[in-house]
Amino acid sequence: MNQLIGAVEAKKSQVNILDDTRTLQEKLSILSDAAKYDVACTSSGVDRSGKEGASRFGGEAGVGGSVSGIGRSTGGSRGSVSSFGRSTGMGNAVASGICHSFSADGRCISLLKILMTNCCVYDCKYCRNRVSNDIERAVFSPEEIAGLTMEFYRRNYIEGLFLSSGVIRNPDYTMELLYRTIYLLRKVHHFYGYIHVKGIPGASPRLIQEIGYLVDRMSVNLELPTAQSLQELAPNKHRKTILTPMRQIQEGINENKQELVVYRHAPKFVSGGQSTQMIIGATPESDYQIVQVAESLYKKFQLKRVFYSAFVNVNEDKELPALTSGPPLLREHRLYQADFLLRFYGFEAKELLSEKHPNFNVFLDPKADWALQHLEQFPVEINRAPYEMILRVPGIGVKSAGRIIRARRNGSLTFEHLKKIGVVLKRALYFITCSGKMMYPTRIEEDYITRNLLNVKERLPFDVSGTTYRQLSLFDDVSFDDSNYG
Amino acid sequence: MTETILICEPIPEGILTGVYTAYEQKLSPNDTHIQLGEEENYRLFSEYVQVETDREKAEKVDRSLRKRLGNYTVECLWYAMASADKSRGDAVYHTVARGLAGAYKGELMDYLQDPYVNLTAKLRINVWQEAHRFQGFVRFSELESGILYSEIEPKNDILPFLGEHFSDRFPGEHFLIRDKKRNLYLIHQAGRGYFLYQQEAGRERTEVTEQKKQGRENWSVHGGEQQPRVTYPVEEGQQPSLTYSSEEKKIQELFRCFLHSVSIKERENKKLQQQMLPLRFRGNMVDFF
Repeated sequence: MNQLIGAVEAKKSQVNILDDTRTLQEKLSILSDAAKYDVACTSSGVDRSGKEGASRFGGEAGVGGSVSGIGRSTGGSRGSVSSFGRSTGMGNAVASGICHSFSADGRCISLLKILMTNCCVYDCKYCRNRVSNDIERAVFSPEEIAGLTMEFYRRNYIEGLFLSSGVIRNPDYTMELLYRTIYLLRKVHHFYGYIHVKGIPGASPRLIQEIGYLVDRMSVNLELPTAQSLQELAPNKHRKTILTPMRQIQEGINENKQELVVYRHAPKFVSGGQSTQMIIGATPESDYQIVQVAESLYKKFQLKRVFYSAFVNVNEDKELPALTSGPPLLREHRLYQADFLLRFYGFEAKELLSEKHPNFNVFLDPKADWALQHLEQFPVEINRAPYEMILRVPGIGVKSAGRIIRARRNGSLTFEHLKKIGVVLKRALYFITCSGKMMYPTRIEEDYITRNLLNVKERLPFDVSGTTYRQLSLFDDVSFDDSNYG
Repeated sequence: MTETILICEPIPEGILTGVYTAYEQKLSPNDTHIQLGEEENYRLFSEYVQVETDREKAEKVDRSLRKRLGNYTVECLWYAMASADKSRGDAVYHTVARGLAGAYKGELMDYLQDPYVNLTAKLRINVWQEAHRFQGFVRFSELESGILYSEIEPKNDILPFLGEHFSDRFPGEHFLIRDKKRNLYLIHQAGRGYFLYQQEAGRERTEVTEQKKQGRENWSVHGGEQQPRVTYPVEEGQQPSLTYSSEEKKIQELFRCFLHSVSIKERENKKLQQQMLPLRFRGNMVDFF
């Protein structure tokens, strides 16, 4: 490792290739703006107390608490305070994640999300930082990033750092810069908060390995769902160079788990797992293809999360689709819904969609859609059905299902009870019975339930301009049903 | 049958003393209620009993409840008692009564069909969620002396639940969080523990979180021996006087700049933002200054 640092030191003088003399604020503005399309701003998955952090990252490089004032390029004079008591470093991580603020687009801000640099030698068509764009470029020095992170963190603005970068010179060089920054934070500043770093495709396995021991989460962006669209839109990137580090991280995590069983204090490797993201709507893949890709990433690569980002057209390239009505937010929303069904509800991709039915219903969420196609499995008896089946009822989530299972141990449940324990019945009522009774005399009929479900307005996190009105017809309305004529 | 109404002080110790009194006098839970603070509307055919808060009795109740109901349930009760809801006393008392009567299987807090247990569970979640939110929404500003200072205005009395989190996070910082509504301070000294300080009463408040974590029976009051070495801007009956450090403004400015540029314009959605971060929090957050 010392060799590596030496190598980084040697290259330090070459970092300022742009001779970047901008103020910190200008740089921050440019480089956080450039990072905003990275969606995975979560700080979850790791529980680590301050003490654990100190024993995991501290005690190396021979620096005590006295050094912690170094490199605070943005920091104030710590004065009397830093002179005593500042021996233990700073920071912890909470498994549930903590949101510190919310930006104007309603997304959670939990990490300081920045690029090391927005200089990039690649020319990906969808990316604002591509080499052929004439935009302002900036480079952060590792010291600047470390200083910013520390100052924001101690004011409780952020939960940690999310560090990504454009590819400067080559992947290895970029990755070394990232490594240097994180090394500085962990070992010199004794920062034990959350760090998420992007793996640069094509970087050497050794760098990925070293950096993995310092960070909580690593992610390599898949960028686009299929190898073919990647080839079209990101000519410098290859599916293989993306999947190689992903596999390496996965194997590293698994090996590390074995080590931790034997040696409890073995250094942890990417303890928060890895994630990835892909752009939705820039290429012609169907939802079915995307969900299948996500499923295989979860199964074969054991990813923690796959993130989807609705395509925002920043470049107006002729290869890219023109968006007339803004980014495809509804599609992104449906994919996230399906993603949760895969991860927490025991669904499989082929249950939700098929070749014949390749895209999600615009009007109904994937779970309700599935239930309507499988009415033969309903109604579900709340007092007897297994957890897995209760979980498949539209309107009942992981929390409600858990509550039902626990509450029914103390006697059978009625609809009144369900309401009390917080199960929302608006949609569930068409699919469940309590002690053999439906809540209202409803019928298990696709058309009937569909119409009623559409009346229950779905809560979407944004406005959708799509009408949900139904053409009035004389023949399929309830009052004209056969049964009414006896 | 006349009802007995116990009037307790609206603090956790008051409620627990009320529970003690109810069992001491062998009152039937069906005809007994706990009311907090002054009664507004007196009811006919009810007997009103004023309960004097007694810390020892409260400790006894806490201890025996831990033995009978387990630490998890008692932790839930502590969260519920920190709520600002008026019915918290009654909810907690009747939940305890249900638990001690043994009319349930498994975890008491899962017995959500019961209206009182249900209410307690709701209050608990409400307080827990607010405490969790404030783990993120607390904003420290650096004072001239290097102390980190923060003000919050929570609905519920959540400050005691923040101590452990922030002490673990910033072990090497002196910090101070002030609950503006209750004039309660959470004070942490670098390299040492934290304690709560109630301004009016001039006494330190019972420490909740520490004993909760370790499942210890006694509530040890922190800071008794360790007087703060640094001067905190807290003085009896005074608003804190604050001078910020020279760098403070610059860093706040940097943070606002970051917040602004990290938002995607095409996806702007102020409604969603407000849903996630309601206006009531924003008054004390530098994000919106």
